[in-house]
Amino acid sequence: MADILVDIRGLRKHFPVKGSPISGRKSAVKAVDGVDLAVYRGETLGLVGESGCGKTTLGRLVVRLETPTSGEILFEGENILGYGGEKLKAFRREVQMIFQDPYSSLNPRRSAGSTIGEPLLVHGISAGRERDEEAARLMEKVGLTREQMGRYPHEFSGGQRQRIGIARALALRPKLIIADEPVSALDVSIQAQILNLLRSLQREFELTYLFISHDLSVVEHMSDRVAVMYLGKIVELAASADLYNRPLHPYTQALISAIPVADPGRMSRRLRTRGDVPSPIDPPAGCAFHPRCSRSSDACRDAVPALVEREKGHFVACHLPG
Amino acid sequence: MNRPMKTDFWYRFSKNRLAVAGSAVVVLLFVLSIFAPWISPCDPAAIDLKNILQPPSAKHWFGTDQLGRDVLSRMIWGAQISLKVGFVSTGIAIFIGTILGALAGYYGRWVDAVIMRFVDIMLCFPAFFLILAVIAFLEPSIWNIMIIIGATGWMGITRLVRADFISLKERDFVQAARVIGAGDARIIFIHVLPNCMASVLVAATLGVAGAILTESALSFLGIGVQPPTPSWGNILTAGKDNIDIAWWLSLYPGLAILVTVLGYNMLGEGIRDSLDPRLRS
Repeated sequence: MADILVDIRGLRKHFPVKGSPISGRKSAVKAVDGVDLAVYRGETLGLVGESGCGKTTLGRLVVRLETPTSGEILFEGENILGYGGEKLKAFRREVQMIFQDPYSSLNPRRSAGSTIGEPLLVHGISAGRERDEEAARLMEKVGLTREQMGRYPHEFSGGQRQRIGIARALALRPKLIIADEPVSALDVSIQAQILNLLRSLQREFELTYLFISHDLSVVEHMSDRVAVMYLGKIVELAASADLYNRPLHPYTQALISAIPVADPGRMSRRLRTRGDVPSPIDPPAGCAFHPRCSRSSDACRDAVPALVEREKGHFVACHLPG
Repeated sequence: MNRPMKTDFWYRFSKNRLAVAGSAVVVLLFVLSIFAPWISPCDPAAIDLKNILQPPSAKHWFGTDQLGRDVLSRMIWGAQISLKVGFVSTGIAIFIGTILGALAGYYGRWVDAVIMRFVDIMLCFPAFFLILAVIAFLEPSIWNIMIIIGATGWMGITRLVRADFISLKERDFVQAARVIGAGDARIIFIHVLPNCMASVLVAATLGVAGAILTESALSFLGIGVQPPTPSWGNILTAGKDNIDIAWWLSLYPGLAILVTVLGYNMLGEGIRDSLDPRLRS
């Protein structure tokens, strides 16, 4: 068995919503609702799902931008949720994040060089000329030039800005990088460049990625394993090729059938789902997907399906998989 | 935020005639204040009892007052006082307002509740009467005036900075700063505050105008800058006593106050519109 870097156990994040003023009943958005997930050292674990399914919240929980309602996150065997002060700061060196929107993830008033060098300053790793030199090296690593160090974010294109964000994430030499939709805001030709950069950096720095995206093709291209999320829960988890060739969960099947095929001769057989995603404040009882599922049964309405290993390495949370 | 800010700003600012006129007034006042000892034709305190309440003439362009002092010289020195009061009291207001606004917006929850309720309480008092009440207990020196005007004028800035903080702290670059391990102080002062300075600058420019007006009013009532120190406000007081025989004592300082306040307002609005043309009303 491979080495587990991050082990997420029973993780929940509920955002409280203002309760009704009459009944006083409090409710909560169940953004992440009981997730168990292990990330192996050196792999890229893709996390897909439609918007609002909780994948970004899951990523933010792992970097401790949010505090979970319950559950555990073990990083190299240690629960990070109790960390504070110096221990949290030390943890920050191990786990970094790449953000979705390169236009908002860089401080408009700080030059590229000072943004990239800031982690080194904050952690007291290097200072002065040494830090500038390291920032310059990082810029070259991500395909920018050291001459661009003094420039400000508005002087860069979207793709270049994302490269700055990647360099900032690399500065502390982390073991794990949470990439939260790193290419969704970029146009397609730039997407490929950034994805290739991420892959080559992964080899060079022995990185582990938790790659969050709603784009199934991008995730397939990047990931060793893929987890599919629906309404705060993992519904299917398998090796990438396995999941795309033989999806077992009806939700995954519908998602994969919706990937556009660039071949007019091949009519794709779309599996349709009914209705919209239910509200995460009041998700359906039983299997959360049952109101939209083509093969739901009584069991689906009553019992929450557990995520079980149907085939080797292929986990599904469905009463009627296949 | 994503465009070359500086060049766009100056381009739009230079196209705005009112803003340019406003900045001309402000620059002129600066020059007058700084060079007052050399520019003013007479000693502002020189009493000449043989020439009291003389109308404007070639020797005394703006006439003389009830003690025979040259009104023009007194007004030039008065500009210095106005400017000093305007900037120092606005500086105090910005200092208090920015810090409280940053704390309220960044920490939220009970910190926000306490600070904002305090702001509401301060806003409940009619500002001018609050100042009058405080001055009643203090010596009406120019420094006390500045402190009081500043200490009663920070609430608007607090609200502005708080609102900016609330929206900026959710931005990804602030989240990114947290992920790299930056502490609260670093996030507040290095990442968020520089990004809300634009709106503070506008509020400050408009605040200077308000402070100058308040100082003039206090001096007019005799509880601001005390004679013999010249101030536009206390020249007006003398003008009020002699308005039937010496119109120049009321007209010129009145015009000076009007033009100055107007100038600062036009400058402030010009900066605001040039920073973000979408805000133009």
